[in-house]
Formats: sequence, C-alpha cells, structure tokens
Amino acid sequence: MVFKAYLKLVPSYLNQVIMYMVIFAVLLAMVVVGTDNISAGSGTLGGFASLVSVNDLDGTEESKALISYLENSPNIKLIDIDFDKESAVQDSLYNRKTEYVLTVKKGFGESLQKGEYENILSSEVIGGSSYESFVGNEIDTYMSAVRLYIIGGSDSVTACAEAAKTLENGVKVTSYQQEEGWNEENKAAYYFYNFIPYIMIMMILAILVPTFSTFLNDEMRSRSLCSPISPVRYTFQIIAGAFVISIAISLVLLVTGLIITQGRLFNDKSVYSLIQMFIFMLFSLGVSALVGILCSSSIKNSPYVTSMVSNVLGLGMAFMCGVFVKQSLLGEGVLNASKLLPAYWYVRGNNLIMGGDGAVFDKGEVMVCITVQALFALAVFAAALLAASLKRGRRASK
Amino acid sequence: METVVKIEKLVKRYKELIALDHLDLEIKEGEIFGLLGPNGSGKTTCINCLLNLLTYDKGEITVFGKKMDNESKAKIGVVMQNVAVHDELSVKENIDYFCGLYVKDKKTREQCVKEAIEFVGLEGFEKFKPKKLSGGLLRRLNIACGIAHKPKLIIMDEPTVAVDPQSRNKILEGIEELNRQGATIIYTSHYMEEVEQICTRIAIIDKGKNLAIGTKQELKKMIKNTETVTVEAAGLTEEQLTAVRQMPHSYECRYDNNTLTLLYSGGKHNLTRLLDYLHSEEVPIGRVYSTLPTLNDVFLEITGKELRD
Repeated sequence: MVFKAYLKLVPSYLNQVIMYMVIFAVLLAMVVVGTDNISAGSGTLGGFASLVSVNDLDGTEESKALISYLENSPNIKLIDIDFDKESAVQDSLYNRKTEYVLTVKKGFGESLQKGEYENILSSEVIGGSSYESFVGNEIDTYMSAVRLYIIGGSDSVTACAEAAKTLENGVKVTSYQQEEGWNEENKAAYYFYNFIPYIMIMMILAILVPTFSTFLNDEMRSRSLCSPISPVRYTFQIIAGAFVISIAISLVLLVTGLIITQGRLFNDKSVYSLIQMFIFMLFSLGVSALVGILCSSSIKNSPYVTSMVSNVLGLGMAFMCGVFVKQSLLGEGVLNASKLLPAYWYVRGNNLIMGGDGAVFDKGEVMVCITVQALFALAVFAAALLAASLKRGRRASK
Repeated sequence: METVVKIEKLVKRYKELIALDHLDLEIKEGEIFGLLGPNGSGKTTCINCLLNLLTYDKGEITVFGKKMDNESKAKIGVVMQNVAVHDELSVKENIDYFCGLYVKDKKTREQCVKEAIEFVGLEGFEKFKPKKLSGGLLRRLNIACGIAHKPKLIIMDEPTVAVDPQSRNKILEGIEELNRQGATIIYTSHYMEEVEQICTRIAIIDKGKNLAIGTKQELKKMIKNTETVTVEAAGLTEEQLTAVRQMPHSYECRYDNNTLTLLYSGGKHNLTRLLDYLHSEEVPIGRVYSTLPTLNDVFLEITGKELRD
C-alpha cells in the first residue's frame, strides 16, 4: 500500500520534471544539430565559409598554387563566375553570389620569383563588409609564408607549395575534431551521456525529495507505523517506489536521447555508459533520500526548498565537473575540488568511453571511475540511513 | 467486561527526566476512557508507548490480553493530534491509503472507505485535496483515516484542537456513535467539558503518575469542594462576614465587588441556610447561584493551579 501510495504522489511533481525534460531535449538537440553541421563542412568551420571568386590573369604554377590554397581553406568557398562578361563582377557582388573577388594580376609568378610583392593582387568586395579583412587576412598569411620561403632561398613554385603545406598543418594542431580517440559517430552519444549528471539529479530530486519528505516526516511515519506494517517494510516500500520512479526517469531520458540523436546512443562500449548512468541514478536517489530526511519540515513549509537544493547541487556539480565545459578547459584548482564529487568521475568516465576531451579508452581507468561513483552512492545511502536514525533518536529523546 | 488495555508500572525516562513514573492504567471494553493531564504530564508519551512508537524502560503493556503485536495493531485505530495526511492525495485516496495499511482486500476496503466518508460527513469532498479543506473538515478527514478499518480500540489524541463548535459537536457525536457500535475509545483532550460530556471513565495524570481515576462522579467526590454558592449582596459588614465564614461546612469565603462566594465541603441545605441568615440581617440580595464542582475544578485541585510549560 505504501508503494502504491508513493507512486500516486508522483503526478503532483511532474510539472517540474517535464520542464527539465524539455530543457534537456532542447539542449541536446541544439548540440547534436550543431555538431552535425560542423561535420557536414570541410572539417572545422565549414558552415561559416566566405564566398570567394578568383580571376587568374597569370595562369602560372604560382597563381594556381594560391588558388589551390584558398580552395583548401576551411573558411573559404570558391565560386566560379564568368569574368569574360563585363558586368559579371558587379552583378555577382550585388546579388551576393560572391562576397570577395580576387584578381591575380598577370606577372604574379614572375614578380614572386624576383622578390617583388607590390601590385600583384587586387580585390573587390561588398562595401563596409567584414569579408575584406577576413579573406584578406587569409591571403596575407599565405603571401607572408611564401615570402619567407623565397627569402630562405626557395624558388617561387616550391615556396608556394611549402607555404600551403605549413598553413595546412597549423589548422590540424588547433582542431578539436582531430583529437586522438574521438569518433565522429560518438558525438551525439557523448553529449547525451555528458548531460546526464546534470539532468538526472535535477529530475530525480524534483520528484523524490518531496515524496521522501512526505513519507519520512515524523507525523506521517509515526501514523503509518501505528498500523501492522513494520518499520523495515515501510522503508523498503518507499525505497522501492523511489527506485521504480528513478528507473522510469532513466528510461524516459534514454528514449528522448534516442529520438533526438536518431538512434546514435549505443555502440560497442555503451554497456559502460549505461552502468555509469545507473550508478549516477542511484547516487541521485540517495541524495534525494538524504535531503528529504534532513529538510522534511522545511520542504513541507516551502516547496521552493527542493528547487533551491537541486539547483545548487545539479548546476554546481555540472559547472565544476565538466558537464557543460570540457574538463581540459577547467582550472587545476577546480578539477582538484571536483574530484570530491561523483559527477567528475562520471564525466571522466564518459570521456574515456567516448574518446572525448582528448581521452583514450582504457577499461581499467573506466572501471576506477565507475567504482568511485559507486562508493559515492554507497556513502550517500549510508548518510541517509544515519540521518534517519539520528532524527528518530532525537525525536525519542524530546 | 474484558480488559482491552492494561498498563502496569510503566516507566519511561528521557535522560534525566522521568516522563512516566510507574504508571498504572486499565481500560475495559466498551469504555470511552478520558486521559487528562496538563502539558508535559505524560499523556502522549503514554500513548506512544502503548502504540509501540516509543520504547520504555520498565513495566508492561498488554493490549487485548497480550503484548502489542501486528495482530493487536490491526485492531487499533489512531487519530493523532497533528493531522497526518498526504497533501498530494485526495480525501478518498488518503482514507484508502490508511485503510489499506490494515485491510488488504480491495472490495472490503472500498466499502470501508465509503462508510468512513459517510460517518464523518465528508460526502461531496471525496476528490478534494486536504489543502482545500477547512480546519474542521481536515480534522474529520483525520478521524476518517483512523477509523475506516473499523478498529476495536480507537486512540484519539486531542482530535478537536482548533475546531469550531459545530465541527466539534459533530466529532463528539461521532465518537459516541463509534462507542455505541462497539469500539473502545481512549480520548485525550484539554477541553474538560468534552471529556465530561463523552467519557465514561477518566484518569488524571501528572508528572507521569496516575493521580486519580474513576467516573466523573467518583472524581468529583475525591475533592474537597462539593458546592459553590455565589450571592450578590451589597454592604456586608465585617461582623456579618465573620458570621457567614462560621457557617457549617463552608471552608472558604470571598467578598469582592458586592459579590459573596462561599465554598462548601459536604452538608445539606447550605444555600437555604445562607439566604435565611442574609434575610434575617436585612441584607439586600441580587442574583443567587449554586454550582456543583466541574471536572475543571477536579483537575485544578488535583494537578494544582500553577502554570505549566
């Protein structure tokens, strides 16, 4: 009966849970759509490429090398226009077919060979736009590199090829997507599992704290224990109810994740992710019990106490432990402090499983992360039992 | 009559404080047993020990002839002083929850819940949440939750606190009806007139001890005062007051604002004797009252008049 009544209380607290579910769905959808767009481009910032047209009047190896460099740049997309037509340039710029028109003047290759760099290129751009400086910077960077190779003794053709190679390497170094162990297919799953420590604790606390506080407050507990039900059975039924609700929340999260990521949640290492999720669910359940026991009277008087506690815990852990910001970007002090929280070990485990944030899968290390989380869950359950026993003892001696 | 509850030499200590000091009580089947006592006298501790919600240091409690077990608990209904219901559940769901702790069969339970709702007069409020109920209706819900499973023994700890007179009357009538239907009732209250109205036997406890026990008539006989006479009499002289003080059976005399109050212990025709004297002295007389001692007088005389924490 206690179990059934426990489940009956749930609808009263669903509003907040639905709100968190919507936040989660929107957050995940934004990240998944965002990463998909990045993938669709040429490797890095393809979605933001400038449209550039090149009128090659020189037609030498050097001019072709410059065009090839621009073509390979992730931030530039080359657009062909018919330069034989008199008004082609003006029309294309006016119609936004192109944003920047570069003219490689005749004698470009020859001038480079002689070490002359003035008046070899010209450009036309939409007035007052930022493309001038953006594309201009790309060309200046390339030309500076060519100049360095020529000063160093290379001929103009070799200098152009080496400059393009050097600048291409530079892009590789700064790209997150090229990290070792990172699998493009894991992206959606990585973000889904990474958000779990935040969303799971918020949702579970929103439902379980008020329900725990209702059933475990002194009056209700005493009143119920006047019946033939034993204290152990009473507590067991409440925990069973809380467990069922937590499992239901986890399943709803998984289904939502599956829909938003279009089924990309599971791979050969998903069992570790699911174990992590389950243990974090147990931790959240334990925290709910502890808060419900300690704050039962405050929660009865003010429903905002639950929201306050869940925000402090959920958001605090999320920001400190690398849920929203990668752990590699957090300060050493923050990371050291966050090691005292289970969310750190969860995120660390997720990085190892999914190869995120520069981590490489290591079964042993993943198991360490899972064990530490399990110990946190155990500790919080022990604390809840201790709090309940101390509270009963204090009441008995009043 | 069979003994339903027997408490023998019960001792409960809270560190240095002795809450129950060798308390003895025996409650018979079919009684409405009143448990009276000032704040902190040990009433609630006694009930909590009886319900196994508290452990005790010494003594013995038997309910229905044996130590409290699940079988005995199933026959007991409890109406706590603080309303203990789930705010998230409706009136009907709350009664069903508490009834379900005792009655497993769904059909039987449905009938019990229906009868309990009718009994406390909550028809039409079945779907209301407790927060939408007035104080009186909430108390009635609390009672319905305690009696829905048709217990043989009902323990009511101040069930009428903060209830308007109409609701209180309804509750008291309900308690008497439950008793008529065969339930034994243990009733604690601070309202003396309630206890006097419905209880068949009363125990007055203080500092964890049973100071007096009996019917209201028996209790009233235990105190010195048997009659209080009040007369509005103007201009009594010192000599006349001395003569009044010396009248047979009077043991206390007060004269304030032209009102004479005499307390008697035993004797007959005390009022007639006093009025005859005042007539003979040609003292002008206004209103005259003669009152018998109330349970309140008994309570105050037995437990003392000093304020309690």
